[in-house]
Amino acid sequence: MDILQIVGVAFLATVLILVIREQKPMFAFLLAVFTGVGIFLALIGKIGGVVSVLDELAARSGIPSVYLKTMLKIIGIAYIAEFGAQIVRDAGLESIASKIEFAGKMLILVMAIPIISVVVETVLNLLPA
Amino acid sequence: MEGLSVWLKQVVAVVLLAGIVDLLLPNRTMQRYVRLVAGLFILLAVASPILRWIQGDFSSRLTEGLNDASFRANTASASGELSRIREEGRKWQEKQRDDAASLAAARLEEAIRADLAENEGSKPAEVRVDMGWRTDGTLEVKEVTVNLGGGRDAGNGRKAPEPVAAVKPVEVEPVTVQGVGEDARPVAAEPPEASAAASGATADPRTANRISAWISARYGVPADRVTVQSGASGDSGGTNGEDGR
Repeated sequence: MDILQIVGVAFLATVLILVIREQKPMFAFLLAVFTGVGIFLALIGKIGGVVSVLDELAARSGIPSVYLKTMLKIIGIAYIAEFGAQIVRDAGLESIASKIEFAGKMLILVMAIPIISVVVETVLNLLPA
Repeated sequence: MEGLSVWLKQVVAVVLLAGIVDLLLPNRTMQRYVRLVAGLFILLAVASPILRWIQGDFSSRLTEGLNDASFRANTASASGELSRIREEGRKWQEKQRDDAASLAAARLEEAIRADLAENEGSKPAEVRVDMGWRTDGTLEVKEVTVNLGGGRDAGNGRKAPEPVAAVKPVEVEPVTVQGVGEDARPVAAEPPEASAAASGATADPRTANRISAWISARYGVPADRVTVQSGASGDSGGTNGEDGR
């Protein structure tokens, strides 16, 4: 039933935005932002459930918890960057949106650096000096 | 064999995790980057026995590096956050202490009022107890103000002769003095200065004396901290100003 509510709110917001956009583009943009934030907040509880299941899976299979944490951080960065970029893109500022995406990609790559360094060190140690 | 099964479990779990993460991704632009990181994790999980064999404790170094990478940006704000939380905790603690003091003061006021009404035969108009915390964290009574005035003294400032009529309840005092006398004896030496301080507040000295001695004997409050007034509320307002908590 949640999906019906969310789609209903989204439809309502879309119609309102289409009506307002002719008169006040600024308020149409704000309405779009708040609709997006509201839908996101409505789903935060469900995301918490998924995360707790993943947490339990990781704990039972014995993988280091830092793996899971890093993965979740990556997903968070990806989603936040995507949301921000979409909102900015809606406002018509494509260049800033691409900068936000670039920042997201860079932050994800920064997460990978420690892993890469460990792998590279191992490979170098494997080779006879 | 044990180690093999643990390793296998880890690999399966990491692959599953990578699959879920891949599924959860919002769009295609991030997919390549996330796949790189997920692939590195799978590689690490697969190669972990070799890694452990070659360089003993790689996981702690990896954990350190990952935490470093993700928290480096946050360290500056983290200390600010910590101090903010501490500050908030201190504020809550203070509020709780204040609440406790005011609750205790209210209870004490109620008890003194009821006892006075029982012993003196007339209900005091106002009993005010100021409580404060000592530096060692214990609660102490800073001041007890008893206003015997009653409603008819409200116009005290304007009608001077009226307070004479208000002394009437005081005539009851000789009766009660005998009853209260044994209780009051231990502190009976102190009240004179209390009554001297209180005499400015237009209370009858003997009544003031008796009441303050009685309160100090019954509640353990030093008699010099008890002020007895029989004036209107204007007097009690004056003593209230000394309240230093």
